[in-house]
Amino acid sequence: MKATLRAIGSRLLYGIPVLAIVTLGAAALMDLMPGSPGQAILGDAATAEQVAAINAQLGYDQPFWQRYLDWVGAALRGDFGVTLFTKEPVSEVLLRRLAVTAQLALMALVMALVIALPLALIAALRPGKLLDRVFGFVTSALLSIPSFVSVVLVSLVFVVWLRAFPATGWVPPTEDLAANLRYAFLPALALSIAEGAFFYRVIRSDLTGTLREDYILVARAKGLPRTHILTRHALRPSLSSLVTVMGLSLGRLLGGAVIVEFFFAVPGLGAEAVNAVSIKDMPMIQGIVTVCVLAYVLIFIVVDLAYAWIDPRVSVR
Amino acid sequence: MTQLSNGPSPRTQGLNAVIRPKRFGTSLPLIPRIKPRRPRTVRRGAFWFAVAWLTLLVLAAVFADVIPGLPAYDEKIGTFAQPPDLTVGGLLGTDGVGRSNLSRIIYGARVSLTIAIVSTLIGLVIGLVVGMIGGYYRGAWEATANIIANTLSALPPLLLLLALVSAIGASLFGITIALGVVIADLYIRVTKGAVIGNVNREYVLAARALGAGDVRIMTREILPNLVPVLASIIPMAMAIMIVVEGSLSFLGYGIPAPTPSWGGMIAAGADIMRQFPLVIFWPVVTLFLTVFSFNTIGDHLASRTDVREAKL
Amino acid sequence: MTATGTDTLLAVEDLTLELDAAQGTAHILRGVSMSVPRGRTLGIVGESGSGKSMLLRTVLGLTPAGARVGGAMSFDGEDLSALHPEARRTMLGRRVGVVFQNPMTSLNPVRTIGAQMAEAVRFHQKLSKAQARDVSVDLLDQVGIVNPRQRIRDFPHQFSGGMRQRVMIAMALTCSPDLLIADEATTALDVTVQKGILDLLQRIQEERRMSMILVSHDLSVVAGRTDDVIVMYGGRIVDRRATSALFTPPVHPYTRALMLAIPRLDMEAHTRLPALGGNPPSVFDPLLSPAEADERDARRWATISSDIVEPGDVVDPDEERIFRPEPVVPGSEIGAVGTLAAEQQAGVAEGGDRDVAVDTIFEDVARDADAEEGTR
Repeated sequence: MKATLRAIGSRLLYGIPVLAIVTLGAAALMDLMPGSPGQAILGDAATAEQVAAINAQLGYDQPFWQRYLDWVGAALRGDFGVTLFTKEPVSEVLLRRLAVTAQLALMALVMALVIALPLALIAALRPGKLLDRVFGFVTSALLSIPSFVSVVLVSLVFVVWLRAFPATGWVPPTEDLAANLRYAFLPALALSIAEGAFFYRVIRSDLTGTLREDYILVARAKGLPRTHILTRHALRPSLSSLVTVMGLSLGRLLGGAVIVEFFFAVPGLGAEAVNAVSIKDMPMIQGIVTVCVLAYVLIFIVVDLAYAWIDPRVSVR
Repeated sequence: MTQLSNGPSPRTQGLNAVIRPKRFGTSLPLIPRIKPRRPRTVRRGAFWFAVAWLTLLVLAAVFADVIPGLPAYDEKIGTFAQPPDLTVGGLLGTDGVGRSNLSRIIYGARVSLTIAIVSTLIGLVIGLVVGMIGGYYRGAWEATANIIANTLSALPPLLLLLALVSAIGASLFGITIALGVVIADLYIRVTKGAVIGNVNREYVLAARALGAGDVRIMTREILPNLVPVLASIIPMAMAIMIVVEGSLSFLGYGIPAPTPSWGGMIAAGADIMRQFPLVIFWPVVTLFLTVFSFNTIGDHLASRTDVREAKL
Repeated sequence: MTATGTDTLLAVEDLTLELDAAQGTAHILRGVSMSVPRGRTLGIVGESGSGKSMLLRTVLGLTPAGARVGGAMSFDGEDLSALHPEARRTMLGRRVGVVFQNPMTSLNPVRTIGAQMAEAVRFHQKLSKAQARDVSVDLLDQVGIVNPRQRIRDFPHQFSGGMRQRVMIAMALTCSPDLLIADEATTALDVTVQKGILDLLQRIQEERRMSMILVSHDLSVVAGRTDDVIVMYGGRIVDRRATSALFTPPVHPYTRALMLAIPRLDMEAHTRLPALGGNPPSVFDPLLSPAEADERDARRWATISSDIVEPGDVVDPDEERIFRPEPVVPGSEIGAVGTLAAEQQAGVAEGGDRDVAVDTIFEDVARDADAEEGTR
């Protein structure tokens, strides 16, 4: 137990320099971008004095380091500032948006897993045969579909042709669960296409490798049925690569569902990020960046712990 | 045959019978490698198709200006969303404004391919330098390389891209640099891993014993051994670059109009998808085939250079 | 060896195994016939690639996909050849226990040994978890694992190689099989550990009056621990006899080669053991009748350098002759090439039939040897 806690602690500690560099980099980058918050808020018609006034009000006239350290100081106390436009506390906006993106990400992961795992098991039973090759070809093709294409195609099929789902929009689950699921289904589906294809390939190739091991031969010699061997003997060792891939996917989905959220008008983290960058909303950007890095670190802690649980030979460092 | 001077006659020698000289090679039993008969025609077909498609694309993009009968990409040749006809310009129909789809796709290929190649090169250079130094010298250098790679990957890539593009400007130059930086993470990791794997091999030790300096070892000894690994990664990275560039255009941060780009065409087509679902068909197909071709080539190279295909 | 009726546990007749490969059709088993009577131990000896493992795998239904099996197999009177491999496995899984070669990889590293031991008996005999656990604990105790009740919750990597093999043996016994197969069970172990495992197997077989098959490429493993021996070469059986008659002349030339390859304690260090020249037949060679195959193989078997080169011997580099300080006593324990011709007609070994083809070989080899030596 102590070793586990120590391992978690060391990983969290490792995340700190990454966090520092990332937030510093984000701040520097925003400074490099043309324009200032004052300009973004007031628009082109404003005079220079008006812009300068707004900037001073927002503390934007201070030197770069001052602004950054101020932010760090406040952040350590849990205060992430307020967004430039609506003056809402950043932390509230972050949580709200994170919840939406997290829901999409989890739904996409589950959908991808539910489809990929059984198909991979079936294909691993008959490697090289027709079914396996067809699946392999199809997943290869699916992996070549970029997310902005898959959103368009998904929309085409389900909204235009089948008219079964709404084109855009979002309802929080607390308000109306059924409606929420209807709005969430298409974005999650679009996300799950590429992830599912990826999961399938990873699981299948790991399974075929595991099935060549000696202990599988022993299990077959015992006369155990094929499904039993697959699920109880072959699946568990293959889980570690699946866990890695799921972790990577989750990290990627949390930060990268931008296109999907943009297209389906889902009020998630990605959409907010696009917004924030376009108006140079520094507190918001820093907040999003912090959340992403923290999520990344946390996911990997969980993944490492999962490794140790799956394979008893691995001990948590 | 010389006769033994004092040996007993062969018949009664028992174990002392004459040894026949070995005529054959080793006497170790060779266990035959039974290779299962696996039809590889499909894989091979896909690979050559990919090569053919990419060659066609590159040629079209390079010689776009001299293709007879091809209208300019911003020239209206008819009403919007016309179905394909038999003229060169109208071969794939028109887009939402009336411009030739074929022309826009070919000129869009220029953009996509240029960006893909150049950004991959930029990423490659950054990745090779950082990864090589980190992997060769280890210690603090490796830690630095790790932090750089982890930082680049911790950030959501699209976010980083948006920021970079906003900062540098949505031009060919800006987008290429931005993409190169973002993909450098992949190259850093791969290079560092491969270098670490190679650094203790005998040939490195031999070179060092001969007095070769570090730089020489890195460039003349280790670098060539990275080629197989990189050869399989580069096409896949190019595919990613094309996709990401498309995403940027889709979001409106790509190359500004009227220069066509595939992502932009898909975005524009998505707007009028309800009435004219076929407008997005051609750019989608082209994009898909291109990405698929890159992935197939990368897969093929990966399975050739890697003994066990289990790696992805 | 041709026991009849219910006395025979496992019988195989004219078994063939074919596989399609990139280089052509591989004939892995070329007409193998043998049987294992109840309560007796059979040893199967042969070099790697001779087909001995594939013989057992075919019977057990563990052949690779796409393999074609011909011939007849039966277990305890029931015909196996009509069954699909999967059905064979299910039927035999309960009645045949198998111990494989590599104890380090034969156990699933992510599951406890208790779970792995219990699954066969829970599936075949529908025991409950607790009952299966009791059976497992009892067996672990019998094979010599201390503290079985605790150890049953451990993972394979917590056991040493020899202990893991004992666990494998216990695992094979959970369903009280009628036949225990040890396929190179000791090859991957130290010699001292080997003896322990082999003694254990012998003891278990005697206690339970099971039939047992010991497979090895090492003749010394098989000698003294089996009732009958089969020697396999190139996918077929070339010699079969009772183990007690193994060293009784006339000795089959290939068996003799195997014997000569066993180092003996009374040899000095750096003694070079005789070896067969050339390579064993390829699985891709076309099918031959036993007589033709014997003729082809006899040439290779005759290439054995029948001398054991000990330090102190002087070797003539031109012809690799050995000049021995003192002559060897003729008619020594291991049949000499020269004496074969004289004794080939005498002495049919215990254990009944031998193929006619085998007799023919002795003639040929002896004749060749005479001819060569006569011209010197």
